[in-house]
Amino acid sequence: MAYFLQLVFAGIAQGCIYALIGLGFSIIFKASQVINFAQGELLLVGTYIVASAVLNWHLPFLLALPLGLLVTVVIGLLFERLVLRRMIGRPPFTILMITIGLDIILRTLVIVGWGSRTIPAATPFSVTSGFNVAGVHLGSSDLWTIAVTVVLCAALYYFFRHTRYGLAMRATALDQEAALAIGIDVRTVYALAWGLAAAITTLGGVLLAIDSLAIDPNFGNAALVAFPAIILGGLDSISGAVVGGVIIGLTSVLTAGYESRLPAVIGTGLHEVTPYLLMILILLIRPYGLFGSRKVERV
Amino acid sequence: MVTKRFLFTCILILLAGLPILAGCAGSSTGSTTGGLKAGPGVDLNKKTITLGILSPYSGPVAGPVGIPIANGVKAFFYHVNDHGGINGFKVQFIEQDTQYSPQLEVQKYNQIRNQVLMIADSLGTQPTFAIKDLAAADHMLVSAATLSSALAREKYLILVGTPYRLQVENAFDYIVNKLGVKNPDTAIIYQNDDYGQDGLTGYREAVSVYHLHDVAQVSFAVNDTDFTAQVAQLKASGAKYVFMTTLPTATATIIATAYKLGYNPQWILQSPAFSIQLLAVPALKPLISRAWVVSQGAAWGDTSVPGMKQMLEDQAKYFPKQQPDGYFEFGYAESYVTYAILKKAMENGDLTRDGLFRAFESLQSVDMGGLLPPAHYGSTPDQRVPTRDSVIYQVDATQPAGVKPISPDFTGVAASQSHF
Repeated sequence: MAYFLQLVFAGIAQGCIYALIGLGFSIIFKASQVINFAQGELLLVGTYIVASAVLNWHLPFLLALPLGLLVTVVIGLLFERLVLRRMIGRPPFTILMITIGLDIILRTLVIVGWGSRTIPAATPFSVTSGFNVAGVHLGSSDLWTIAVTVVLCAALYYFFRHTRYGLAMRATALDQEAALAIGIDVRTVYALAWGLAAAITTLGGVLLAIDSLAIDPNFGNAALVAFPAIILGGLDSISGAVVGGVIIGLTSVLTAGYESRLPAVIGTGLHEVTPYLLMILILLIRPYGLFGSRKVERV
Repeated sequence: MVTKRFLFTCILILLAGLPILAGCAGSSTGSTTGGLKAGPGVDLNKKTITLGILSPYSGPVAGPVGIPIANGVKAFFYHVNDHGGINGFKVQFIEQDTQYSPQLEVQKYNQIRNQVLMIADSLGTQPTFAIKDLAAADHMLVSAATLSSALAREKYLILVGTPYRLQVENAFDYIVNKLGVKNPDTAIIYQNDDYGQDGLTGYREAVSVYHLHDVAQVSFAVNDTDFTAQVAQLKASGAKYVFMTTLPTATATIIATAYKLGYNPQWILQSPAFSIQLLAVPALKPLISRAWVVSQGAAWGDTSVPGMKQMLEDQAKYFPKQQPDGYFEFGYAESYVTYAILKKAMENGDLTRDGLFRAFESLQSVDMGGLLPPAHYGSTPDQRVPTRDSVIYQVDATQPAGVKPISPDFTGVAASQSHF
């Protein structure tokens, strides 16, 4: 039982990381209908900045974290202001390709700046910090990951329901022209979406790096694993990203924990494909994901 | 007026002629001067031999592996050139950035295949496998910077060092025959790719030969970031000795996760699983210091081996910014074999590709200055495995390369019997 509960706890913590990264995708898509393929590299840059700030510039972790968030937010805002704003009205495929370009540029900058080697990640915890309950180790970093995700989701819920800019973002997502007509500054909404997404994704990356202890330029690939989570939850749904993330995290960790009990021909590497199998299954039943909004077109 | 049919015919003739022209260039045995037959990449007038390097110079593998190995190869031959070359012939390189991509490797190989005599360095199992058939068709020898045992089956690929599969077998020979632990509870954690499969093959052979009590075989995906499930399995299995066919970042996370879960077995790392950079991770340093690494060759700075002094001098002269690095040493050692082939081919008066191949098959043994144990070559797959020995090292932050030997250089029972 302790074994199962350990996996469930790890799956939820891992799912929260996917949720945070997935939230970044969803917020941008919701506001601008753009899938940002540079999300993983924004995470990468932020994590490297935090690591350098702690280990090289000797800043406390609590100062390094906002610095990392600030840098990625600035990158997100500049990219939106200097590139994407000029692309409004262009085919989505063009914009998607531009985000892939940003992805490559950011990864190259990380390699140029820090090299390709494995470097230590910043962590405020010791490896063993946490406590044991009934044979299950509840690590500090995992507990903090879950807590941060819950608090952030509550804050986002409040933001989108009860604040001026949150309501403006929802209105823009529903109908850009109507939003313009009632005086919403759509450009500000886009900028806000990019800034917010960059910060949340970076936070996910930093929390992931705490558990990894070491990072390398492939670290941004973590965003790829979050991708089935947001598709499963519904690409334009904030709550979908969170639920999808936790489902994928749990599925992946539980499968990895039990796959060795299956015959080798099925079991080996099964956890690598279960998130995608689950995604396909759910899309077959609900083509817009669990919480995605169905598009209605008048013909 | 030019008709469409005429134009079409011309294009067909041109297309039909291109492979013939290309074939001529590719299989040309070149010219003969002063009794020396020369193939592609050899300029008898300028007295130069051009070799190819196919290695990642950009991308994540470049800094930690690709560039140091290529630097090692170049440092060796810069020294040769500065000391008169090979019978007066200077060695030069055409270097191509493969980014560790099999597709790019093929593209770059095709770009340089008619300009080089052989490939002095091709990094990575999958990229090298992507060009093996092309190299065989071109009769091109390729010195492969990988320890994949599958390479031994390829006629034109040159292995340097003990394959991964035999590293695993030697590690368990050390536990059973050197430490005297009978039927130890063992497990392996491996990444689910060719590299991991090579480690797993060695582990299964070791289980059979040494009567290990195999309690778990756990895999993970290259992109996995959380290893709780895998480590929980290892812990539940009760394995006392866990072999890791991993890469450094995964090594760090796995060991830390295990410690977090209160699991502290004897970790044994396949050579690529360790990087000295791991010792720079403050939280990891005390945890990894109990681990063993199975590898081979002289430790960086060990001037008791004859080749080390020369290598250090060449590194200081040609690549002064190069940090102590096992991969640089590997590239330098690898070049002893390339040099021996070129030297032998020149003595035979045949610097064509076929001449090089005959020289390679007749080498028998190459001394690598003690940087790696002497390599032995022959014509069957079993004979193309150059070395079967290993050294077990303990991770030690006080050493320049981060490890110190805890065993002599030895070949275990399983490794000496293993067939390829």
